[in-house]
Amino acid sequence: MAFQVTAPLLDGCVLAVLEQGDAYGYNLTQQLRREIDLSESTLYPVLRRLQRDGHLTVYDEQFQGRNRRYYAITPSGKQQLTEFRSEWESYRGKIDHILWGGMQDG
Amino acid sequence: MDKETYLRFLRALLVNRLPAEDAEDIVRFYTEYFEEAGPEKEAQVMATLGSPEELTAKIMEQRAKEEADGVREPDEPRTRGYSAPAGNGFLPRWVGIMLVVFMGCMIVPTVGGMAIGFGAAGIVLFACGGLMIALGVLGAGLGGKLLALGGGLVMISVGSLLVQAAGGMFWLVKKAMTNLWNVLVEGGLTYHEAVN
Repeated sequence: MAFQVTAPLLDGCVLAVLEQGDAYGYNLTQQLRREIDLSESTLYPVLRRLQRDGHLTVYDEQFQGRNRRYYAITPSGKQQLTEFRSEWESYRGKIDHILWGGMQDG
Repeated sequence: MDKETYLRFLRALLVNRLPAEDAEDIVRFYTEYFEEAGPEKEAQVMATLGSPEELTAKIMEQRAKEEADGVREPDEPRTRGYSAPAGNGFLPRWVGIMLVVFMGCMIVPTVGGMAIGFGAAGIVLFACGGLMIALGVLGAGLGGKLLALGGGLVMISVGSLLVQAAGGMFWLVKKAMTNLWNVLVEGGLTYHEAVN
């Protein structure tokens, strides 16, 4: 993949997946892996930081005799996601503008 | 390499680099990750994660990057040689606190009492010395005057020594209690080696 998924991007993606519903670590990783290459990073630090910042909470649930740690988005996480989406939109607009030659007009 | 070996290596690598609590948390995350993937996917998971060394390097790199970007607070300097900063590792924290309080109950009154006694005696002796000189000078006879002067000076110096000893005792009590607290409750001792 030509583009690196950096920390803030990954934050937004994780929050977006969690907005669809709570997920456990493995499941969350698999969902993201379907779309983006995570080989250069690991989700653990991202989850930990989002948790520390109050954007997500964790809870443990028993599943077939073992523990599953679920991650759930918080209201503050949802707000963060909204901000992230609007920032991404404006950023994407700027890049599109450059990539498709909009610059010549100006 | 099987899953257990992988996770053991990972833990060993992480505990040397991160606060114990963080290291355990990470190992827990990957233990769960392996479990969810199932035994038949163990090899595949290891291939994706990379070797324990590679995974550790990734984790540390991400942390460093986040610290540099200001998204995360830098780690506290880590304690080496002795147990984790939180708790002394061999006693629950409340037992440590109880022990310190118990020892404090014995040390503070005895040594503190001695210090107060020494200090009071010193002040009285000092004052008596001064009085003796004053009275001696007024008294008759050169011999008597010299005797009073000499005796008074001796009393003043012994008195000030006692006061200094009392100060030293207070300092000792304070130092002893601080060290007891550090060893029994914080588990830090003075052997710190900042790793950053």
